[in-house]
Amino acid sequence: MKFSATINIKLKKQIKDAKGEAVSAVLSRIGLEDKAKVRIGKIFELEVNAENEDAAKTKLNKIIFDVLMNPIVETYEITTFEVIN
Amino acid sequence: MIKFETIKKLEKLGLSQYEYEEIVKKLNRKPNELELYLFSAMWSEHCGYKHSKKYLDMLPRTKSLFSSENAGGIKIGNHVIFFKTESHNHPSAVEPYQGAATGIGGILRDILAMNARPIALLNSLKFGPIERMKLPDDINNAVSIINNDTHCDMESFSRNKYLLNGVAEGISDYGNSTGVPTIGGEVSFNECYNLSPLVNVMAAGICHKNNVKTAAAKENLYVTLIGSATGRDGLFGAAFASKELEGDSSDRLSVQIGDAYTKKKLIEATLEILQSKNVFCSQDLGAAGLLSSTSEMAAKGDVSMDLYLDKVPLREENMQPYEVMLSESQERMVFGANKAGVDEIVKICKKYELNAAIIGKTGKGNTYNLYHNDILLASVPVKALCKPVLYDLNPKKPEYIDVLKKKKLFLDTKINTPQNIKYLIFKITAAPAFASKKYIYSQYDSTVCARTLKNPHFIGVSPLYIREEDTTIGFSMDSNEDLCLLNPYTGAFNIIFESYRNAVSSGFEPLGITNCLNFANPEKPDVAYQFTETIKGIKDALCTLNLPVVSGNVSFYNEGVKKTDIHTDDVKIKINPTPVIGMLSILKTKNPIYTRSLSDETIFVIGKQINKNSCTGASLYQRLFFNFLGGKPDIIDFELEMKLKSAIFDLNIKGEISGAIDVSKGGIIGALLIMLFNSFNFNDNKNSEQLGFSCCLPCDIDILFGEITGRYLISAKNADKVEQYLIGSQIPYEKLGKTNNTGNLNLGFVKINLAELREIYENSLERKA
Repeated sequence: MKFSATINIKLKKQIKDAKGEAVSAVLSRIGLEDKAKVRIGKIFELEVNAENEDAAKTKLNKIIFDVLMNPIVETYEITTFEVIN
Repeated sequence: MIKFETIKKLEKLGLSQYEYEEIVKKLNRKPNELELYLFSAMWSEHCGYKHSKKYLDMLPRTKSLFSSENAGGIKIGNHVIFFKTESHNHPSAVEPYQGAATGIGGILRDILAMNARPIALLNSLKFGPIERMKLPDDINNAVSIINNDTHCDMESFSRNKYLLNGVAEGISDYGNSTGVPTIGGEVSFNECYNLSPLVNVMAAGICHKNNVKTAAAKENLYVTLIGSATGRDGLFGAAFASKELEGDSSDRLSVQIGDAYTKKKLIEATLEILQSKNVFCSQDLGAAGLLSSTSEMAAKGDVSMDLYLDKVPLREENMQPYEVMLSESQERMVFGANKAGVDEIVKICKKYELNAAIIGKTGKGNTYNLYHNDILLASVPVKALCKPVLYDLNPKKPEYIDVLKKKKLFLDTKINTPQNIKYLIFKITAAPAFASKKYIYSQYDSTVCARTLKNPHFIGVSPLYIREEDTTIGFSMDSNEDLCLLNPYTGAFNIIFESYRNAVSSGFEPLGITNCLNFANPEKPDVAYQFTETIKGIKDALCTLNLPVVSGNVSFYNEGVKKTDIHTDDVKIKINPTPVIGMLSILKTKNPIYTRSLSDETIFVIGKQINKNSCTGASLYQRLFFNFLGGKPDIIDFELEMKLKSAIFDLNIKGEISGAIDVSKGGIIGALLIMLFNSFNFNDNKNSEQLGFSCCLPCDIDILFGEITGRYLISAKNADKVEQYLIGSQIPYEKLGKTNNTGNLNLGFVKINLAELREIYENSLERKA
């Protein structure tokens, strides 16, 4: 079976987000929003082949932890997970 | 009587009951919770050096400047060159990228705090092995002692590769972004680092002698914090580094996260701020963050300090006072300035888009007071905070030292076949411990700042041009963990001389050292012995050479627990005693001497002669080929070393030698190969691709690969003149052989294509990592 998933990965709350701070500084400078809280992350859309739903989730977890993110500084969230065929 | 809950809490904070009682005595009352946190951090090994201070004070410091400050230095003309090493072992074991990056960040801030512009970075990296050495059966059969006690398996190889790549990437990303060149260093692999890799970094900076700023505050200054906002990262880092690593996941929150671009801005802002006459002192925020930087400022200046924690710019909500004080958020500096100075600081920080906040002030007295919204939270005598109880170690000579000394590597003479030696030459050339570290240093920017005179490709010291004084200085980093395990005293002593020869072979005169002392738990008598012997070795070598220590760092508790199966007890694996020596030297010859040989030249071995009875303990080939460590290390002949130095300088000034190298790892073969390989890199070397070498060496593994002290190879066009000089100066020498245009290394009994061998030397590490 084939599954598709969307994964959001962002820095843990306690980690300094330099890119987010840069965006926030720009927003303040151009006067759109003062001292805005901005956090920047990334989105992955990917497809995996697996026997069943459980196996797909296990595989997905391995992909997330071993490849997509650094568990020491980032957190993840699987926002969509569905069977394609 | 101490309450049970208090005992539990003390344990968690790493304070002993005795220390608690001392705190109560100094305060004349029981400390409140926040105060206990403050003492726990300041009295940790990482900040307070409580187990090492008494011993470090034995090291010679004459001629060094500011050696009790953030970084010490040595005067060259009207400038001071500051340099210091720092370890970031524990964080790098947990998260190699960030651990190494913030290590660079930390050491740069130490240099910066003195108002010195950082001009160079070096590093000494140590990992567990990334491959197993397999030898053919005929060699295995000929060796009577093979130590098969190895802790390695495939899983640890891949973890070590992950650590190596992560650390190299962290150093290159951070170092390159801050615009400070990484000019040299060393990498080695040893099983003792499987669970505790070592990441030692060194930074150097330059400052005019009249502009140096110290940490000592005076009365009525505003304490001004600049840089990134404070978050919870790296909390308890100081306590964390003072603890043996156990488990993995729970330690992860203690790692700091670096931001190299903010650091670049911080460097420029700090140097601009420290130009001001209204700014009197500066400190960087490293271990135990705001707490250690500000309390040391007050203690050194003999003043009191009030801090208002509500004024500290925070990145996270609901931070506790102790979290604000102990956070190790990166990219922060603190200054003591008068009102006009504060205005200047705010203006400069605005330009560089950095936070700046007045967080306290100094005054008469000696207390250190913490306020939050005008409520006094903690009030302690600042001197008590900064003067931890110091311990004597209880060294006891471990039994293994005499056992190893008596061990002998017995090689059957039938092992010495041309076939085997040819095989071993290929093996050592490909070994990560010997092969070119190009894969790693090519990731580093070594030339930014436009001071670098030769890239890290060339062995020997890394020279930097100091245009402020129109002179050239050199840096190097050296260590030898096998030798130091075999005999900590001789090991440490010999490393200083190894560094010394390194400088001499490049035409440089050593000026002083910094050290980074990496050990396991010093509370154990055997480690205490290794530590105290190492200190004696360093001290005696420096006194012999009349060189000072200008700065240093100690990293204890480098040991990890190897989880075995449930039926047996867990095994603790300690690192070998690993003192790493960083050396500053100054060019004494007209130009730096390169490690090279041109064609039609004679290569001489000068210095000690090796024979079957030489002490070759801890030679690389013994561990690499036979997994053997034992025997006696060679003893230095000081007078010979001095004679060799003046000979190399003299011959270079006379223009008689085109290249030199000290003989260390890999013995004669090792030095010869490096010299020949490096010769390929010179454009002025005609027909360099055809460079070959022909000599008549004995077909004997011990003689070819054995390592003893006090030897150099030099390459000369006019062999007769050099020979006359050597005879005249009564220097023992041997003509090794002549370079030619055959493209082969001909040892008399075996012929090897040099281009083929060189390809292995250059690319082996990349293939294996």
